[in-house]
Amino acid sequence: MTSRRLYFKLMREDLKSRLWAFAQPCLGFFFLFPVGAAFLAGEIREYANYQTGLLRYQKELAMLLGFDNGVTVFLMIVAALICGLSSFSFLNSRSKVDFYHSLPVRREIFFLVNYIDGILILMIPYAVCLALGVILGIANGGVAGTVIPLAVRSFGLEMTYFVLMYTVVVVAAMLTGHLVVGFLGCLVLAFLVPIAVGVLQGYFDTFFYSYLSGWGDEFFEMGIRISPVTEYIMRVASYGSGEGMTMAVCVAWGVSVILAVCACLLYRIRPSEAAGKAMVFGVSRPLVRIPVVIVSGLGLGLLFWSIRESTGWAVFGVICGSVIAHCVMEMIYHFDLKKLFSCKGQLAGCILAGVAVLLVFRYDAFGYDTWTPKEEELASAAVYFGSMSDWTDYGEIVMEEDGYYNWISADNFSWVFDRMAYTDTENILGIAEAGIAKLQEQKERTVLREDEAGYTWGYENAGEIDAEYPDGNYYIYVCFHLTNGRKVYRQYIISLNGLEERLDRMITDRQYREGVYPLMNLHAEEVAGIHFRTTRNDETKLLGLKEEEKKALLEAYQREFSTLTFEEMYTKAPIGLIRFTTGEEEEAVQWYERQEELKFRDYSNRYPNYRLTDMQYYPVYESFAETIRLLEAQQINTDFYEKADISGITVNWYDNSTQVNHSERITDDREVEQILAVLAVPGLQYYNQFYRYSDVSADISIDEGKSVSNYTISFPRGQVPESILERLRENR
Amino acid sequence: MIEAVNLTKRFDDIVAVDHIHATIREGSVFGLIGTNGAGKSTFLRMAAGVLRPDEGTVTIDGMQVFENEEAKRRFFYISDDQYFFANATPLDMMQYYRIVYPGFDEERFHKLLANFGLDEKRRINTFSKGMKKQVSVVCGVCAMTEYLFCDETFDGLDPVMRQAVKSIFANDMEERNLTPIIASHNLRELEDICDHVGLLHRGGILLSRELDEMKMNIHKVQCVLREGCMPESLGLDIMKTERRGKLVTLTVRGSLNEVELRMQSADPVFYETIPLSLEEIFISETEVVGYDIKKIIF
Repeated sequence: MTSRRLYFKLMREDLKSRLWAFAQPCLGFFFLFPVGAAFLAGEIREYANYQTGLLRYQKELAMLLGFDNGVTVFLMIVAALICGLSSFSFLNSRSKVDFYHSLPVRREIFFLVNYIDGILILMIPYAVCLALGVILGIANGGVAGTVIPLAVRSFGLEMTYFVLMYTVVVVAAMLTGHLVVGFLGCLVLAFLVPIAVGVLQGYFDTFFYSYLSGWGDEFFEMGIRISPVTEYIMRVASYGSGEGMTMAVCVAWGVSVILAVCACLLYRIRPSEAAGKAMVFGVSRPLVRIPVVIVSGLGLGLLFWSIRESTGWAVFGVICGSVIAHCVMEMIYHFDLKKLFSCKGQLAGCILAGVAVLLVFRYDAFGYDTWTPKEEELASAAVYFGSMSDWTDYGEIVMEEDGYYNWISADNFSWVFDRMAYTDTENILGIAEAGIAKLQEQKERTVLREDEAGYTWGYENAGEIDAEYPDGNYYIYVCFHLTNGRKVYRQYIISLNGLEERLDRMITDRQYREGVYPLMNLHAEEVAGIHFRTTRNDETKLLGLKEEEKKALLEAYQREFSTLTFEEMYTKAPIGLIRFTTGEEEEAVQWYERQEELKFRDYSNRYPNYRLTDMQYYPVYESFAETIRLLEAQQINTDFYEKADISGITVNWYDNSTQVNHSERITDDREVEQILAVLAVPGLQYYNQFYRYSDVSADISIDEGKSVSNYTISFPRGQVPESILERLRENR
Repeated sequence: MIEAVNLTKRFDDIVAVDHIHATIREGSVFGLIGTNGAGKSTFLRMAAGVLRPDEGTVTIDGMQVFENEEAKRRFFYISDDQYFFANATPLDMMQYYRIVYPGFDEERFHKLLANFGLDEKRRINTFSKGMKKQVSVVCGVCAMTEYLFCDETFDGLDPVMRQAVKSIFANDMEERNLTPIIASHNLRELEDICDHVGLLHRGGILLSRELDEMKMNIHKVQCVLREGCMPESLGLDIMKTERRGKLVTLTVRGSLNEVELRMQSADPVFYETIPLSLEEIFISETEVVGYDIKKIIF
């Protein structure tokens, strides 16, 4: 009999004996695709407008059948585990091993039969149910030209990652001789490296104060992606961007083939007597146990540190974690409680390694926190100083298939780090040095304090630090662009004391402004509309301006905003907000306003995204004379309080010493004017992150046409008129 | 011919089979007997290519067995705990074996199952232990291989079935030169079927001989010796001596002629030579190497 005929006959027999394994994928995919597609079809009727409902259905159908369907991901992971372990579960039973291995069939054939059958058990129900889903979807209004290629593509991608995960499970099955241990082996192969990376990241995050989590972590990301499960999930999560998918698929298939060959070789050398044992190969025991023990020790050490913030407790955690993990592993290896403390030498080695790693991080043995590039090695830098720009909106307006406009936010850091190339290297290194000095100062305090009262500093105790540094401490995030092309990320906490000049030099730099504020990159020909507002109810739109008027206003604003000093940003609140919209953005705003009037009846199942009308506003300061002049030329009164016609103000003072609130009604025109001169326009004080509030506030009622608005505004610290303070004190 | 040379298998610290040399010629029934844990099953599993020997070789007709399809086509292995697919019927098993053993005799399978009174469409997991053994034997015989490895196969068969199986073996030996290799510790089962016996003890082979030859070379002598004459002075290869009053029972090695000659020359008051059963031979041989029933009981 030829090997091919034998192979297919064995395959058929194997599938017959494993019919039960079809149940999980059959049930799962049946309810997911055909039932899901039919279920979604019912939603069309819920829409007042059939076309809108149909568009929505098509979109949801694409999500259902597409690669980024989370339920499919879950089913694939579970199926990979079940198929992989069940395909080779016969190796865990002596009677089955005796049966199969005494037959005149080469092990390679058995491997191939079981390996391919394991894939078919998933693939057949998945393909059938997906096809049914596609048919139902098209029958209910899905576009065949869109749905079929989408389903084919997602089928290919899902199968790619299924085969990858399944093959890893098969490798785990080859290394173990017991079903439960095989399952644990899968967890180790799938999650040990990502967990190790997570623990290592935890150490960076905890002990290196300048470590900027999530940036420059290619090594960590690679470690996380070593796991087929995390790689699969991360690919699904980033599927929308479509970046690197072809390469990822090729790599996945390449790795699958290599792993399958390895699994086959392992099967060839696997001793039959390993059936029922925990680990098949003696050499794999320490290879698995040592990393598990070290990672467990480091993990518990980190946990103890986070509870007590003491080196002693952290070392104790490392020892406990290592010993517990070692004992558990040995118990699993031998199925015997008496063997808990086997391989004591290796346990001692693991503990020493764990403690060494802990101490390296604890005392920053390699100088991570004190590193800065040499000036000649630094080409430029990207700097994100959120206190100066946290009101800035990064993102874009997009119109979805059903005509619904949405605002898609972009990450602040990504936007800035991708664009900015600030070349004043001397200045940024100076700021970094100040940040490092601050970190070291706080680290030294930490070491001294540790033995006394436990260690408290920093990030979670801003209030305490504020008390010590009246000017406050602020985060600044830096991406150093080195001349060799590398990017190195750091975060610092800086005090403003002594850095005002450097910060002023930085924020008035064109490269910095263009790298932080999207408006600075806008060109006049892109502008379709200009909006000015003080409050939400007080907005003026300039839509019919001539090109030269728009240009003049944009350029005036850009020029004046560029020269806005640190001093003014630090001390003042803006008097109004301005927005320059592009044609597309203006359409979105007008669409939103129309829908608001229609109460979003065509999008009854969607939340109105009010942000469309609230995004991309920039502050106008009273020093922006040309901007204000041009606005006033368009009949816009930029003085909020002047047009508000306020006749009286209630001033409140909360006396902390007696915990009693004192109020005083101010009606005198002169006093009212005095108060309004120092008060920020309601809401605009938030555009100044350095704004210091006093414990005196003012209640103001303003008739804004549409409604009467009541505002409570805190006075800036130290700027409450003396006469008002006196009256409050008198009436205490 | 199956040949084991210096065959050794260890399980961690335990030496299950210890440098065994054995030859099993075709056309005879080889009985593999031994104490519990002697290595009978391990030997068979190595001979069946299930286990890879740590040292030495085991060959079938000159071919290494482990991972050798050609060698494996020549035997059918019935383990002491034969595996059947979940919910499989004898018919399902037959269909599977038919794929891997091209010479599988389907017609005979149906006939033998009918003779044994087994329903070929009934699930095997509803069969009794003995019925499962019968299915194994029927599959094994119908695979039409040259060798049949049976590990404790007769255990669980009723006497009638045991006789029926022995008849089938005898018939196949006659008709197609089948060589059954039967491992068992139930010596009475083997006594009337085996031609050759291999005695295993603690992983090593104590002896491997033709059963008749073995019986011819070990004897029990009951005698009453004259005053002053000690058994040791008889010049016999005495394995065991038992005394009840003046009656001495000796287990001795040597041919019947040689033993009788020695006894006659000692001129005893009375003597009688009695042939030993296989079980008695087993006890005697193992006792010599320290496997003494008295030590176990007392």
